[in-house]
Amino acid sequence: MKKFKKYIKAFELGLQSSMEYRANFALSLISSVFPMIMQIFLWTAIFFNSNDQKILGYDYVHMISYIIIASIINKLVSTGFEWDISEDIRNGGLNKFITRPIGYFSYRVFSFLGSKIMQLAIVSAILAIILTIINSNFSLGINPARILLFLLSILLALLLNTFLCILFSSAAFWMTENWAAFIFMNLLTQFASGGLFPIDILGKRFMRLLDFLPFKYIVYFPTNIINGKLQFEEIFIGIALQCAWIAATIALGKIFWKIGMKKYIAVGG
Amino acid sequence: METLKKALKTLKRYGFIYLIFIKNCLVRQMEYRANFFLSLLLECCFLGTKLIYTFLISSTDVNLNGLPSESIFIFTGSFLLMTGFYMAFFYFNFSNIKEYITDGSLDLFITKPISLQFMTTLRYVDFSTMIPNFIGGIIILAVGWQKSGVEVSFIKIAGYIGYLISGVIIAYSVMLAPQLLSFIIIKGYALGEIADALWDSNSMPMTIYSRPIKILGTYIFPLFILSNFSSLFVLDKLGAVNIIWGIIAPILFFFLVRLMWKNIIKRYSSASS
Amino acid sequence: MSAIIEVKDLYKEFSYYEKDVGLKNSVKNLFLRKKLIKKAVKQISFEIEQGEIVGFLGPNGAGKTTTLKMLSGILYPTSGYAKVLGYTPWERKNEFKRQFSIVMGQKNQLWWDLPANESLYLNKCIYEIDDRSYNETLGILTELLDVKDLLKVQVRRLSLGERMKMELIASLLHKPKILFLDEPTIGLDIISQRKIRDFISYYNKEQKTTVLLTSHYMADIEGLCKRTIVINHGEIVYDGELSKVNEIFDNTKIIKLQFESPIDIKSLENFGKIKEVEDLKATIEIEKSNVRESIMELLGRFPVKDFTIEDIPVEEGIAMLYSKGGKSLEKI
Repeated sequence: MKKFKKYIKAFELGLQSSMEYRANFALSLISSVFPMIMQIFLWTAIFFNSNDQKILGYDYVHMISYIIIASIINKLVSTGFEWDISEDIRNGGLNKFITRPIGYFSYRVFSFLGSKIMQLAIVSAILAIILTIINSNFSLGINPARILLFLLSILLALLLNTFLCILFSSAAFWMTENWAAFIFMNLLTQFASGGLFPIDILGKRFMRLLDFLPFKYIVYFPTNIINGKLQFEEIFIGIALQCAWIAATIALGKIFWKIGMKKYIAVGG
Repeated sequence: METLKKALKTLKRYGFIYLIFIKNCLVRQMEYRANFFLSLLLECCFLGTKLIYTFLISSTDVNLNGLPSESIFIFTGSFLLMTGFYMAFFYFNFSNIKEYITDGSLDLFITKPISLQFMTTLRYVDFSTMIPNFIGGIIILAVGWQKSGVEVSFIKIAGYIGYLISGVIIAYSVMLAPQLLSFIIIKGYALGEIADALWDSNSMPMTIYSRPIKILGTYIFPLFILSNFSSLFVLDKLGAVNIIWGIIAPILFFFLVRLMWKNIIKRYSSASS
Repeated sequence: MSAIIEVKDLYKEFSYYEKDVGLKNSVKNLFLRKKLIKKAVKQISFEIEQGEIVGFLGPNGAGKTTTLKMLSGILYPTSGYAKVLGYTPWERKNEFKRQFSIVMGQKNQLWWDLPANESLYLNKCIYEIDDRSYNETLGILTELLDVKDLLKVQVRRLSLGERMKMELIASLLHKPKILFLDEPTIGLDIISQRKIRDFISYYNKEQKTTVLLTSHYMADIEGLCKRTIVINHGEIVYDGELSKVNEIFDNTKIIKLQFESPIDIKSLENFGKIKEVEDLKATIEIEKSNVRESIMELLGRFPVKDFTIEDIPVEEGIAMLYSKGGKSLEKI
């Protein structure tokens, strides 16, 4: 199908560009390791100097394994193409797709996937190795069923993050200082998704608040599947909620984009 | 005597030019008020997350390899002050360096009768990131100072400020180096990412790290000097060796980065097209 | 009489990596990349006396800007010798920097978001100009260029022409002995171009400032320079009076014809060298002296709908220069 060829090309271009910036890729992987290492040292020091087995609801093994796994998943599901989209909105690159914004999203997402494939492959491999090591040393109760559900939740998390990204990038229709909105959204996502630390240590009230937001399903939820912290029922409910949030985000995204496109066309692109 | 006079005159001139830089940047930031306030707000959010984490850790009431949990506030305060200083005076200049290369501004700077390093690394001052970190830092520092029961003596304050200054010089030298390497590795923005990630390793006291890392971070790539030394000094936990190293290191590393700079510029002038 | 600029056997080569398009090549690039060498400036030599305005003419990529960068100390040469004002430029001595200026078209030294006078004041401090000279010079220059009321306007709000004028002022505050101009009129409208040229010409006469100017617009060189150095592929192809170069160019004119109906190509050949023929269009090269006669005959003989008489484009002229043994016209 000729139309599909365009998306394949977008994928290819994304892949090419990711190989061009191969040094950057390796370095950015390395740089994301440092915060993780700092956390490990911190909590090791805390647990080492404490008499308590459990601190803030976590025991040592679960805390450390959370930190490691969450960092990797964070990298796995990260997006970042909101900048490209906002460029298109600001510079009128959107004009090419004006009648069919759906074509535009497909284009963007395919391009994004192309640039992400290599990262996904490498990081997944790392994750698999890490999980094997952790599991063999401190049994986390990983079995094939769990792994399957885990993979599913990761895929859903990536989708969720992708659609959130599309939703956030619509900010460019209304703000010239959309960079601020993006950075804020990124910070919020980082914090609330559990990518930095297990967010439940912030207390029950905070968790209740997060229940109303999609963020915890991006990192916190998948991590706790493979971490062994969740029971099967909880996992199934969680996955259902992930899907629900994806649907909600798509719907919200559509609304905002529709309004935004109207404004865009009214101004003349 | 002559050289001293000349040196003073040059210092005065550079000082005056630096004041012009500051004035120009202030005017420029006030031009774009929306950007300024948004940036300020964002920085407050970052500050917020750091503070939440600090309070969380201190609430565990655990001592961090020899440091009582209240003392963490001193470390966080110092870290915030350092971050404020770095972001305000150095960060944006350093990350602009590759821009200067690609758009040719560096060439124009080279032709001016003023130190290229001065012009390139100190030209911009940012007030929006400075303010929250400075204010937040001082408040948290004061809180920690009081909670840890440290006395407010002349020696303590002078020493603290002294090691803070040493931290600033180290910050300049050590954070500039990775950016200079990106001259050689084209499009190497990730080098800056690594350096920034390493910067945050100062947000917690260095006592949490293992011995090899502590040695690496104090003597080889001495980021830990930034905010740890001043805090440790005030808590009387800075060993004799480090008291001296905290004075020597900034001079040494500044000298090293200056050599690196000269070398990189030489390469640039031989190669660029 | 020693020259203010002396260049001998200046040579500069660059190395760079080849990048092929396509997915397969991207993967290949992961493992090995081909290193290529570009010879930008190939052993050029010339001398310039104080007070001259000399034009560097040549197509894009000829080596003009590279030469200028070496003379201003921005680039180190691969080999060769140059002395400007008695200094070796790439040693970058401050005393040298205080005596020359370089202005590059399209590159700003002025702070974008601030009024021009702030940037000018900064220059005052950088070049250590005292208050009196500064005010005096500023007054004169803004008067000459007619930008006095624009000093307080932010640079980003100025038009390209006005910005260029400010750039020039910024570069002349410290009364440099040498002014390097790299494509100063690029992107400007015709009127601004002329104003800038007039100013430079006037300034050079008044202050005896030596001016070295690169351009790929003939008009710039024609308007300002008596002497021109033509560079092509990194080599000096001609160094001498502009009028002589013009002679070569002016010997031939290009006539472009548009016809109402198809004509016999063969009969066109009598008039001159046919360069291009297409449907109802034709381009012929004719000797300048024959132009009037030829045109009248052409109009009489053929169903000409429209025609233009043009000069040979610079690039072609230079190529001609090259092939006609430009060397015989060097150094008068």
